[in-house]
Amino acid sequence: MKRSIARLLLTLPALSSASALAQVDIVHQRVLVDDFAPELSIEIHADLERTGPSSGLDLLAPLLPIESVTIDGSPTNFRPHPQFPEQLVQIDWPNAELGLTEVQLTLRGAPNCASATAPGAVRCVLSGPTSVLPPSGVGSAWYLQNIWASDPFTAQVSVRVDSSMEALSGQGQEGQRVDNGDSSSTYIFDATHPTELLWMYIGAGSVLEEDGALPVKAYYGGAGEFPERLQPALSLASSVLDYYRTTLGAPPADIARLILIPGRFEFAGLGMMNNVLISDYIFTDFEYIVDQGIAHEYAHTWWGNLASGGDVPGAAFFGEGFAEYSAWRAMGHVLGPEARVAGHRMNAVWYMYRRPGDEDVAILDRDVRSSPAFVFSTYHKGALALSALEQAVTEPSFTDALQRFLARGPGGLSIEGLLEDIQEASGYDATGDVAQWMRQTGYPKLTVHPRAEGRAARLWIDLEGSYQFGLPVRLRYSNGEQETIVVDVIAGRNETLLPERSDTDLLAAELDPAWMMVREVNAGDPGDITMDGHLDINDLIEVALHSGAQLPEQRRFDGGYDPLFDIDRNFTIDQLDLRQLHALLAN
Amino acid sequence: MGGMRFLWLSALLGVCACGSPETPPSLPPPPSPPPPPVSRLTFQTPDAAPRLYFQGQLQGEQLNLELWSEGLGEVFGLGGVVRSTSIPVSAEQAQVLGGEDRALYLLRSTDQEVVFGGTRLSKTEGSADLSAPTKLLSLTLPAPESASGTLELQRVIIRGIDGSYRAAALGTAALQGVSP
Repeated sequence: MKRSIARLLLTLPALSSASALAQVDIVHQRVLVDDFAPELSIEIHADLERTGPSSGLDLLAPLLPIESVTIDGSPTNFRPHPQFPEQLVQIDWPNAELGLTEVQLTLRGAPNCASATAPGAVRCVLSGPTSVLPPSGVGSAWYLQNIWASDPFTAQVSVRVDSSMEALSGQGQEGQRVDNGDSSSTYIFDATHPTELLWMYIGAGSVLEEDGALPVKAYYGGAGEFPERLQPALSLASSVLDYYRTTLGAPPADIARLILIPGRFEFAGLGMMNNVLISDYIFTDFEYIVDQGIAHEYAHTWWGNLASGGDVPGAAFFGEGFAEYSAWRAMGHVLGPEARVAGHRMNAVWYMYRRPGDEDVAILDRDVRSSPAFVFSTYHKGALALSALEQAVTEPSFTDALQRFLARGPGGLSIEGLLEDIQEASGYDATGDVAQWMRQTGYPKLTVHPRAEGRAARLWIDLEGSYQFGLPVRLRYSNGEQETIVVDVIAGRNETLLPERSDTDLLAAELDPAWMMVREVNAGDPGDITMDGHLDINDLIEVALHSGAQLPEQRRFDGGYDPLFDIDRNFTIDQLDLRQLHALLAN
Repeated sequence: MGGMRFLWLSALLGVCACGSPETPPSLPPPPSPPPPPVSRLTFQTPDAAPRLYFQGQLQGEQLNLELWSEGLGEVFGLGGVVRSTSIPVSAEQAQVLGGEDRALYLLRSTDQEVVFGGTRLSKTEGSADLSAPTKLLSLTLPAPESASGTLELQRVIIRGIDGSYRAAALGTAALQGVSP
């Protein structure tokens, strides 16, 4: 793609003596997979824009052995990279004029699907009735991908299979099927939207279809019956996709696919333009991930595919953080608001209390990827940094901003762009919000000291950390009514008098009840969890309602944990907390 | 009450001292029992459920009131404050949400108010069905000779297992103590 100058080869300091600096832009690729011939083969025809002098290309180690390489029709030499022989292949690139160049590779032989990172897992499936090729990775590359820079391209994937099988690829649209007359068929898929993610599936066909607002087909090639959980998952997928269409814009196609991959697939899930690859064991061994995983992966159609981060600090955030944010927003719309609250809490708690060694890194830190806290920050805090922005500008305005942001396309997302789009959509300058949530580590801690006044209360809120935001406070009244106000808080002590109603009593003031931000709320007056200035049964009820919650051991598991109700602060809310609070309140 | 009886007997003895011992005067008809010192005990009870309301009666020399609920449905926790004006009040709690293996109760009294409530121990205990009329509290007040006062409910909390807050109509009790 010519939009940007990208380097297929980048000379890291460690590589600088071994590799010449090649500057290229991948424009288009045609990939032909032949699964019908006795021996699996893959042909790659890549059009590259050469933008700088070079003497070689470094490629990810391929899935199949390289049989031949030509550049502009002339054979050239290739070899394992002298410094990274397991990871990279070095191809000679004789000096030539700058401009368009065609590189052709033929791969043939036995595939190596072993995962390079997860022992015992596979990175692809090429045996048995189902074959799956996910996007290229180290040791499993089957098309060219820029190693060091964002470099989307257009592509065409052709797959030759036995006529009894069905092939899938592309970006949502149905492929063109050609009968070869030799009991084989060739499926042709175009990826017209610039992308870096190609994939391929061969199997017996769909096993289920959900006729929702956006139909979703399920494919399952595992042994035995497909999981019972598949049908509700399809239903959710259809509803979530419809919500994405409403709030984020049109999807690339009017049909979506959910493909269950048999065996120990390296990825739990992958989302690419209306297509989600998900490991089948998730449906049985990690059921709590199914819905959120599907919602997250389909959100990647927009965040990571239709638009993505460029070569900017925290680029992964523009895929993962936004997908996670969109997923829980959609889940709240489809399953009810409490589903979104649970997802937000899960994300907040995992970031706040489960970072290894309390390591931390800012979402937009240039080196975020190399931090042990990368996932915690990018996915979990990232999603809530966005909901905090939504809270600041209101949901409709933020939706407007997101639609503008998506229009920036593949490689076009940056924090500066987001700030511009929020400003245009709402008139709000979010510079300070971005600084406090995305450019610094940590999270705000709020300690609340309430005092009853009349039928309401006065709150003194101590805010620890360099933050300033509008804090939503939900007021619950004895007559069953509720209202939410926003209290502006800054670092240090804040005083606010809650509105008093003449006809009913305030029973609870709930700070940020929807977990719209990463934050910790503490009761400044021991026992007054409901922040109403009264030590009463409502405080006990809150602890009892949360009894059984605990800080989760597993990522993405909602343990229901909120430190506000953990009286003894041992990361478990149980009968000990209830009894301890009862003793406090009884005196 | 004892003081009034003394005055009445003194008057009778005085009559006897002046009369003939052979022909004792005919005794006047025995007096009717003295009226109870609390002359008025009135309740305002909401017509429709869900509601919390008082009932009560005089027993001996103390007033026993009860706080009842009706039509609350499935309840995870409930409570509130009974506030008394002028009259000291004490209370015992009915274990309406189950025994201590299933629920926990809070009861705190001063002369003027009773803070009460109960909650199931956890969601795994489920909720309690308080649809039928259910006695929540037994309240004891000394019968006043001449005091007046009211009992009213404040800060009533009724919550479902989903954490929801519910409304109920609230009754009151008014006492008017009048010396006969």
